[in-house]
Amino acid sequence: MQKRILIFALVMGLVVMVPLFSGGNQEKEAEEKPVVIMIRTGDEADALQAVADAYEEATGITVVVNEQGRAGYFESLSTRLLAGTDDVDLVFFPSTYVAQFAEADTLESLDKYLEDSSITDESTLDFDDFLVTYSYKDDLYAIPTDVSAHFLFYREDLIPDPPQTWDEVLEIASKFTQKYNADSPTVWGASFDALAPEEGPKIFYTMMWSYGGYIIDETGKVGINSEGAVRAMRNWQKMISEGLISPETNNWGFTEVLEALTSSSVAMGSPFWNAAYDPILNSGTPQADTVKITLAPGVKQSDGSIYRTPFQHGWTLIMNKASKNKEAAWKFLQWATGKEGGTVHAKHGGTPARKSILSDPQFKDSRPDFELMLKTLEIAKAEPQVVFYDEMHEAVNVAIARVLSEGWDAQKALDEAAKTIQALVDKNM
Amino acid sequence: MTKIANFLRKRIILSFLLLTFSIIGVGYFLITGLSDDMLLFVLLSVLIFAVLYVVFIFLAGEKDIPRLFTVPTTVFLLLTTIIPTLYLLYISFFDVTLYNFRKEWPFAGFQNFIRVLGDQVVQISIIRSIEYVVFSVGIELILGIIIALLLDRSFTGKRLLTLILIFPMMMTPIVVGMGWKYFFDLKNGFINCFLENMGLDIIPWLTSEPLAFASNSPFLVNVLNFKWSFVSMVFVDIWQWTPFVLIIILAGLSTIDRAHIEASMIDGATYFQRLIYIVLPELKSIIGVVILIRVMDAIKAFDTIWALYGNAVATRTLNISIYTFGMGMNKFGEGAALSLITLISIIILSKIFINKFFKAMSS
Amino acid sequence: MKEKTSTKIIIYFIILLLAIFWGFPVLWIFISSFKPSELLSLKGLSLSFTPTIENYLYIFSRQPFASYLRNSLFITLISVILALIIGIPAAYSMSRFNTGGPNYSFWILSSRFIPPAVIVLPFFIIFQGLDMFNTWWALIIVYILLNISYVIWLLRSFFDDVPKEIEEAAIVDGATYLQVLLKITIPISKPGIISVTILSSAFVWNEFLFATILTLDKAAKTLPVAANDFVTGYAINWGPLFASGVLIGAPIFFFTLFIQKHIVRGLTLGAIK
Repeated sequence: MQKRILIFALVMGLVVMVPLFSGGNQEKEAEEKPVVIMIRTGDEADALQAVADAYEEATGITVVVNEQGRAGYFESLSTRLLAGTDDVDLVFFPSTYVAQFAEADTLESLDKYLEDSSITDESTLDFDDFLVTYSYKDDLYAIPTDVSAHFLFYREDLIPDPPQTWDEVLEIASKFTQKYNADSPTVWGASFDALAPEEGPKIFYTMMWSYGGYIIDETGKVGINSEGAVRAMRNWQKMISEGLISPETNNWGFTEVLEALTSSSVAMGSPFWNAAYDPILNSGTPQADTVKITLAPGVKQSDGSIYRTPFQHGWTLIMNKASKNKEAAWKFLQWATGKEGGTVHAKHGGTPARKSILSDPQFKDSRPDFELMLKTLEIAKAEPQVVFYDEMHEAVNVAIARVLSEGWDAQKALDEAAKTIQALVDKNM
Repeated sequence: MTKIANFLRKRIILSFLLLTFSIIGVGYFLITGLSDDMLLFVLLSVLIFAVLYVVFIFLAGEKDIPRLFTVPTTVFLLLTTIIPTLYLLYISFFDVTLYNFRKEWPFAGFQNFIRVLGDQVVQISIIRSIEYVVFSVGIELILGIIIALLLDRSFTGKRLLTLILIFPMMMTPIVVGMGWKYFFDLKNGFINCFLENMGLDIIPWLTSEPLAFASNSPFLVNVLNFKWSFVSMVFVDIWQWTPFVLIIILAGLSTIDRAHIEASMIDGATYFQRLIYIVLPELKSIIGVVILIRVMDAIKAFDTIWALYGNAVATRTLNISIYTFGMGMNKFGEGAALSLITLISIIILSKIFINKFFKAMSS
Repeated sequence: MKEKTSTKIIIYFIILLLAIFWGFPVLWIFISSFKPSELLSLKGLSLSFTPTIENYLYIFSRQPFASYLRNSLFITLISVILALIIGIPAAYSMSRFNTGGPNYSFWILSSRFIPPAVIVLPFFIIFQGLDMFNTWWALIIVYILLNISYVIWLLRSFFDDVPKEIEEAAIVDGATYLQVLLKITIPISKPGIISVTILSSAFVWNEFLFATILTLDKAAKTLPVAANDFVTGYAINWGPLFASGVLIGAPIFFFTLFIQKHIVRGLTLGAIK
């Protein structure tokens, strides 16, 4: 009996002790601590890994790229920054989050590094070359590795003259929807990725802005239920009710639209992300040659010009305020977003927000989307940088779901969203 | 001195706890003096606790053993549930979101609770959760019992079948969710392909298309969830968890005293009579436990719904709403309020259920 | 007693249906893991393809799979064993002596009510403060918490069904409660304990939410999190995802296969009794 208890206690002790010496936090002391970056898995991670490898080759400093799955990326990003973990130094970060995370005191302000010429190499960084950077209350926090914007994707073989306005999109779409034209080679004429929660509002904004709608104007007035916005929403509603886009559009993310284009299920991506062009070109399907891109459609104005407002946002690298390795992290950051890193990045499929790279002749043939990106960025619009970004985004998300999945009247749904957002504005601005 | 010793000896649990925590306390000061490693401290505390526990079990008189047996559970639960709950309670009275998390928290009284309950999306997700639980657990229970009864016999391939049945609930829910997302695909998923080949209409599994007979009533579709996306969610849950019900009930059936049944057969009872008057009553406690466990889990269902629909508004359940508040929108105060409300409601409801259940059991 | 042949046929038919309903999707995922990626994105039913192991190779080349496997193994093993060690005595005590009464058992049950989504943040902050972020122990503690109510409640009802006479006889003969527990109750309830072990292990092995928030890299990342990494920012990498599913499910599959002998033995023993 005693022996049993002894054995029992011993086993317990072992059970407790063994993992103590195997799994768990490894030693943190190393002479040159590697810079750790958190990023979500996918093409961006692959491209960043290439940049990291090139950096290591050039400088001998190790950079560890820590990939996290897409589901839960934003949540674990939040938790980590908020809890002040020092396990990551840089984070791959959506530009729209800068305001709230900066206000939350979790981002390291980059100005002081920028101004320190001993660690900043102005020639490679060339700050003025950036088309966008992200600041909050006059402090710089994020520098983009990639910029994303909406293009119009269309099948040149079916549609020699791409539509310039949303009305034209509808017109052409019905010609290529099997419901209306049994001979159509594509099932649906148009498509876009309205996947909740990230994608839907962004597509909506591209349409809404061109109709004269706005989210919040300079005076703090909310315009999400303005006439322009309602028109855009009704337009969208029409596309679904008339079956011009797939009934699963609400579940369609980036991949689904991409596949629809390459497998010839749809004739247009109206609008769709610039980042899809490179994969389509390299898809090896017959559509690699037939899918072309052009400026996103807009609304015809009284003077005959077309008002286009493609959506734009950036993917950036921010520095974790709790990082214990800031100088090394900054050195990598400036290199990765600088001319050298940016070029490596572009070669691996990225779209840097640098004028020099986007207009670089070496990419003229391999990346025809760069030229269009430059043109698009001249007219593109971004969401307002606000601390209540998530809640604002959610309000629009709810409105979209109500209109498209639950059959609400567009005005009513947008009024609700406007109420919510106005309350947020009043509280915070 | 002996008075204290006697006092302690009489209250063995108290003395055990006192001894353990004082050693741990001393250890804390030692450890923090020597090294920074909190993890080491935690593990050593656990070790001290375990060793002392074994010693006390050995020393204790028979009278105290029952209570001593429950001590580790109690201590563990106290530490791991009370602390987060108190934290939640505290934070729910403040207007805390991401950007003021590290600063002053403005006091908000009951505002979080009011705002959260008044949110229409939350209200609908509550209804949806209730429906989800009722339909999935209900169907799982009925199916599980029926199948268990069928399988409660020997037949060739019983082992193989049991293995096949066990497997779905062993699979990672995320993979199950993604797998069904693949199968439910509108144009190419194998279910719709199969239906098409049989000449039937394809079903828009993953969309919010209303069920055929409900398409004229927005109320039925939006509030009562008579839509395909809901059907798919429930379907996946049933697919994954009916085997669970099945196995537990099968195990329960195997412990029923056959003598009872054979006696009743001699008396001429039919299968259904045996079922209703002997088998089911014997299974009552097991069925009760299964219902309880499945309901608890169904309320918290997350992985599969997340894999299928992510955060989509049209398919949100209460648990996903809480997740959205807390982690999606970083509205910690409101998220905490909603979870407290959920917690309290579940506690009240289950108390009622359990009291009824125990009354029925003892009758 | 003889069964009518027609009943037998119906029953076998139903059994076949059940096998297809539950077996086919699993089989399909298994088969799909051997399909080349381009074929998978078409999501069809096609069976004509040359099987390839490229998806599996992809996993091994992209992830430190061995580390993830190690993490999952140890975390599952330790948390289930600890949950049993803590829970069995408590369940026994509650079953035989009704320790703590209905309030205590209710409190244990209520640990299961907590919606995981919101205790994630408090736990994260606490573990971060205790320097336990990205370690096995953080997850082990969480998993014991998630399993303990389940272990105790299920075991309690299994213990309830063990006939008291045998135990009482042993006590009269001078056995202590500990001896009764170890030598009588546990052996008789073996099928129950085994079922609970299997189910708890499966739960921990497959858990996703806490694992994703509380781990960062190969020091503590578990397999489900690794599988989810294939749901990338832009595309769902079906091939490696399904292959991961197979790899993650395989150990459980074999474990169940092995243990099943014991389950069956337990069940038939129960019938003969």
